[in-house]
Amino acid sequence: MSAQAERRRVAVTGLGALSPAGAGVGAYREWQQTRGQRPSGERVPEFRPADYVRSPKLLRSMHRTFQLVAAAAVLAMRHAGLPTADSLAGAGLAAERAGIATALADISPLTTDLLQVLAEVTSNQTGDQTKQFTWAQFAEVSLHKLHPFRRLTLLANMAAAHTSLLFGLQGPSFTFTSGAGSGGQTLTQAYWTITHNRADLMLCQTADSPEQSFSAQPASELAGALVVESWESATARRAPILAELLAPHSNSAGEEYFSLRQPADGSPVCGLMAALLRVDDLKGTATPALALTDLLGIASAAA
Amino acid sequence: MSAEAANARACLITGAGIISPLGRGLAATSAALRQANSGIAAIRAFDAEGFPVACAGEVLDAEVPRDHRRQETMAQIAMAEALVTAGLAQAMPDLDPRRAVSFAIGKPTLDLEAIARGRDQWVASCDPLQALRALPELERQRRAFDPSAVLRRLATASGAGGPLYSCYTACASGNDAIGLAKRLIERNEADVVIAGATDAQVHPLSLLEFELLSALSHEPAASACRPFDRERTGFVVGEGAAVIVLEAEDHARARGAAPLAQLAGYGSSLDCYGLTKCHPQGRGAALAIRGALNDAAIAPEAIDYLNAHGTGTVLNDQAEAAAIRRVWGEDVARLPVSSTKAMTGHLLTAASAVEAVITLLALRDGCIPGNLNYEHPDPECELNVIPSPMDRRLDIAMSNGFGFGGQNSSLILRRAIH
Repeated sequence: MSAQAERRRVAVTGLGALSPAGAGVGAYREWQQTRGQRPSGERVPEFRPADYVRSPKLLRSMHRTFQLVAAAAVLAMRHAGLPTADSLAGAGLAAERAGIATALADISPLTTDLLQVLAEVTSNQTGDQTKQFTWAQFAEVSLHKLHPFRRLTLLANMAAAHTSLLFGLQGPSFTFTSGAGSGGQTLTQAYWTITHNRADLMLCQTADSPEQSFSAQPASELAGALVVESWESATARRAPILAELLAPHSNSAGEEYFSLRQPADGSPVCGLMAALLRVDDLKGTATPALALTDLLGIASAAA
Repeated sequence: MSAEAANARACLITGAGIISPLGRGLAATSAALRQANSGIAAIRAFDAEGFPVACAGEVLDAEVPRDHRRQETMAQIAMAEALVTAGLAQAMPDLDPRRAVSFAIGKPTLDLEAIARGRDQWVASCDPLQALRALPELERQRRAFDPSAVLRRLATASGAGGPLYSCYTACASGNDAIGLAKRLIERNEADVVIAGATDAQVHPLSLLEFELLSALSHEPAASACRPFDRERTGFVVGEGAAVIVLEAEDHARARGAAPLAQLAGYGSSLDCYGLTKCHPQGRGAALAIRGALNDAAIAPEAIDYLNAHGTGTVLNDQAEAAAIRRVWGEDVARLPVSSTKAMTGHLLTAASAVEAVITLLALRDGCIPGNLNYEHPDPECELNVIPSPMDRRLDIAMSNGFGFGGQNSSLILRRAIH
């Protein structure tokens, strides 16, 4: 038997989404159908992070983008029948064989508290503002005014740390900040990590929020997560298999394609539908979250 | 590991480039390591009079101006050297779809003085969105220098027309970018991958962010960073970039390239313990180390040298030592270990890529770099720490990289067979 014939199959077992139309994949699909007519910069309505993250301590360390990632992950893991940190062991899944692939845009370091520090250290400036502050003055104010964990809030990989703590995941972890292509890259890595038997489950997750976006024209809020899993693990624990993820491949233009197959009859229902740009869409409309949630929409249609 | 993974194409390192506080280029770095020179000194990047952080590991190179392009400039310099050593420096007529880029790019720094100059535009609200709208130059800079934009320029300069990956896993980023490059070659998505990392955080705001975390040393520059030493008090921020050219063995052999080493193993894991503190027994770090050993299909005893993450903070060094002891058991006394951060500082996003190249030089030169300032063995870090450079033939070496959020990764390099 060839190595390819022995390749492990990959199942999609959980989906989660939050969009300006609300929480859930159904609302996401509704939003997707009307997004061309909607304004940019919309927020997820009635979003209560404590509904998803029960630990107040953990929640305090998360800004809105991270809260949205965690919420999508919680929805997807619930959908996959793995709602708590104890669920993995209960389902016969080893924590070190369950990993995370995250896609995020770069998080803006320009925050309100930083501007407040700069406002204070420059408060004596007058007219032509030739009088400059010293770095010692800046330090003195910063050490009192900036949050001690400020650095951590700027690191994209902290989204994986939060989800890891929520669900006990200790396996391989990738975080991509490659622009719009990042969403597809999470699925590519998840697929190969499972087929090469380096993990049994991978949680792919993403979010965009205008609040942490370093842009004067931020996109709308969006968060999505998919649970992908080895076929044998999904069937052994009797998880609902929503679709089979087939091998991703790219064309000569660098676009990446994914195929999803309905599990019941094995016929390809989506074909080569999901073309994801590898690089930023220069029009500024594509984001990592949009790319991954587009896939999520396709997966939910296949399910 | 699956049969498919076990039969995957071998990955050779055919080129490497580096710029760090130890100097520019492989030759200068090799000489500095052998002479145990430290690149840590009083801060020159800005006027640090009265500033709470006094020293850093800076790149002092006339061709690396201190502007917002700094980390990209260093990445381009390291990449140019890597392409020359690989014999791939000639301009490509078209971008090659079988060449890919897997890179880790540090957090862009803010031009605080420019923001301060425009204070009238935002001071009433201190609203970041209003500041961005009022100061369009800020957003223009962001768009020009965000990771995906830098990635595209690195791809163009290296002739890569294939997949472009920007990896960010904090201080494990460099190892993860290189590890991902290995996977791209193994699954035949590329023949050549330009992999590496860059970071330039010797900047007042970045230094204060680490100061707020109580992570920095305040000792005199010469002895500020003391990995695994009982008297260690924290790390020193450094800057730099390192790049390797990773190539499928069949591709490298066909074009007659001389490999510098083989990238034999890569492992990644999550601690799942805390946001700032790593697991005290090094649970996640041990998983990454074991993952790399499994990937390379070797036993721990096969490792001749371990370049530790070794930041010089009390808890991180303890946890890493615990992880190493966990994997090596009683054999740990026979494993030479050193951290080179006492010489370079902690290069953050770029740290593990720079240390991968330092590990490569250790294999090539047969010289274990010294763990400077190791004077007082710490019973909580019981390892065979090598304090000064030591000549020894090395066949297989490991390099660790760990990051905030419990991100762990390890690489294994094997001496090249020509």
